[in-house]
Amino acid sequence: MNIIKAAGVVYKYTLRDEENKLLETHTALEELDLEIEKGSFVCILGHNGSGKSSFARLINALNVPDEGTVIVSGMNTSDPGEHLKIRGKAGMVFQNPDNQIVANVVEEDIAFGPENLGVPSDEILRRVREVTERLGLGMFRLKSPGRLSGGQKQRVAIAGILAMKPECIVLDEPTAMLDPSGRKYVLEAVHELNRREGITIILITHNMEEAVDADRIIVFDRGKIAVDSCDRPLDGTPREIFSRPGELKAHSLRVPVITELADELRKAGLDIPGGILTRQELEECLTALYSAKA
Amino acid sequence: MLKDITLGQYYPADSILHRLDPRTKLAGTMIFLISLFITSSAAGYVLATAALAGCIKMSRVPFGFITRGLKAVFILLMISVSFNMFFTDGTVLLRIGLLKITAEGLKLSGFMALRLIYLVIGSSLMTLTTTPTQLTDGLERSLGFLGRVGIPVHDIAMMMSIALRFIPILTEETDKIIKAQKARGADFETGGLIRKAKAMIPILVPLFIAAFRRAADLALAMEARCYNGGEGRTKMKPLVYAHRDRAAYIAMVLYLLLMTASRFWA
Repeated sequence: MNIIKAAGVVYKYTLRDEENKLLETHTALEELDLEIEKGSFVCILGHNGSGKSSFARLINALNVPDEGTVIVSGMNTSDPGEHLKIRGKAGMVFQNPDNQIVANVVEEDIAFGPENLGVPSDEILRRVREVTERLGLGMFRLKSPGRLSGGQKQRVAIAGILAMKPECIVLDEPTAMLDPSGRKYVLEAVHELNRREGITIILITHNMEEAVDADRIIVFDRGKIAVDSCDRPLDGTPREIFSRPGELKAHSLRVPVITELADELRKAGLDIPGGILTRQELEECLTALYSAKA
Repeated sequence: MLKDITLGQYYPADSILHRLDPRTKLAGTMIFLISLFITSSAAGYVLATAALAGCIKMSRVPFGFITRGLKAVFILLMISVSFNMFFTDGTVLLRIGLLKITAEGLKLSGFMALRLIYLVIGSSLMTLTTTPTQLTDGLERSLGFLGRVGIPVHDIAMMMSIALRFIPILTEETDKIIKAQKARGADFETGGLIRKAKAMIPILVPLFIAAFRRAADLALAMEARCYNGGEGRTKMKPLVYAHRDRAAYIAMVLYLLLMTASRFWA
């Protein structure tokens, strides 16, 4: 079953001067068709201006398509009456951890979403408790978010979304402002939610290493799903996508470092298959080669 | 200097004062502030000091933390003290040229200084023991009747709570900008008033731009989390008066009566 269905979506940014005269239009998304399966972990890659953030904002109805339709769990985002329900079903985590935390105490911030949805007080309390436990934020519950690290703040932001009981969480470059340990801390939480609760995850990122563990990678370029030299879309499992480094380079993207290393080793004459994704896989290949030789 | 602003900062602790209903604390602060202007006798100040000291003790906020807010009003304090000291008529104690210090002036300026210090401490104590959300909840509930005459109470309360949340973030940002500009040779210390004011421009412009960017981000994030104004909103912890609040109100009324009495006593 597909939780998100985008059909023929066109989205334009317009720049107007003080007299409301049109100065410039920039097409962020052009005739985009895309469906995302419920419960999957999808990673959207693309360089700046590829339209990936615009797409994220269409999913929870922060933006509405100029043409075409976006359907989220059966609700059309073009219908303003459904916006609140859609935002409750498809939560969004943004890049800057400071700029998305509303309240001055962690638990109050987590309660913000359910409060807006009009959930009864005791139910909110129950959800906040449950969510803080699940994300390992129990000891920060009464702390000020200002005292947390970037990674912890992003977990608070995720907890705030989770308290609305969403079916899908869109994360728009959630780790771009974090250090490596913060990155790991946030991604672990996201993977856990996907595996344990079956929440659909749409992760938008610049970082190829983060895409390795996804179920599906979609590459965006110039407002569309990027296509390879044979006009086939760059949309598939990480192994399919990363086994073609040349195609990614054509869209100003690179493959993960480990994949690149494996490719270089192959070019140097070692018998290593394409599409190596993790350090462990590469190690296994190399030990196999070594013992075969010995 | 920027780190000294404690007004609007919350100090997490578990104390009776923290657990009081924000409406009670708002009323208490108002009564305390009014009482400072009612009294004019030493007995009144002794009572006010005792009340304030008691509250500080109960709050479990370190004393050093509370008084940090005073640094920010130090100049204002000095100005008002010297005005009262030099320009009050009465028995002259000391005369330097045109300036004279009178016994009455000394007494008045002493009280004035205490009054200002207590004003700042009293209101910081409230914000230190009340989360901004509770504070604005309290304001929203106590001023809710204004909504009927078309004043958007919820919106104003929301704006206040967000402003309070961003004070520390923007202070940090200002510090960062000052350092960055200093690193590039900006000079904020020398020159007259006008030059110093002009030197502020390279701090204010980036600060404002950053603040607007944050505001836009936050608005989007709030919308993404289904914020839709005050209508149909529930609260995780709705305000309910407890026994301790009733006790606090009784204490407040007693205190106000005593303070009023102290005015006629001396």
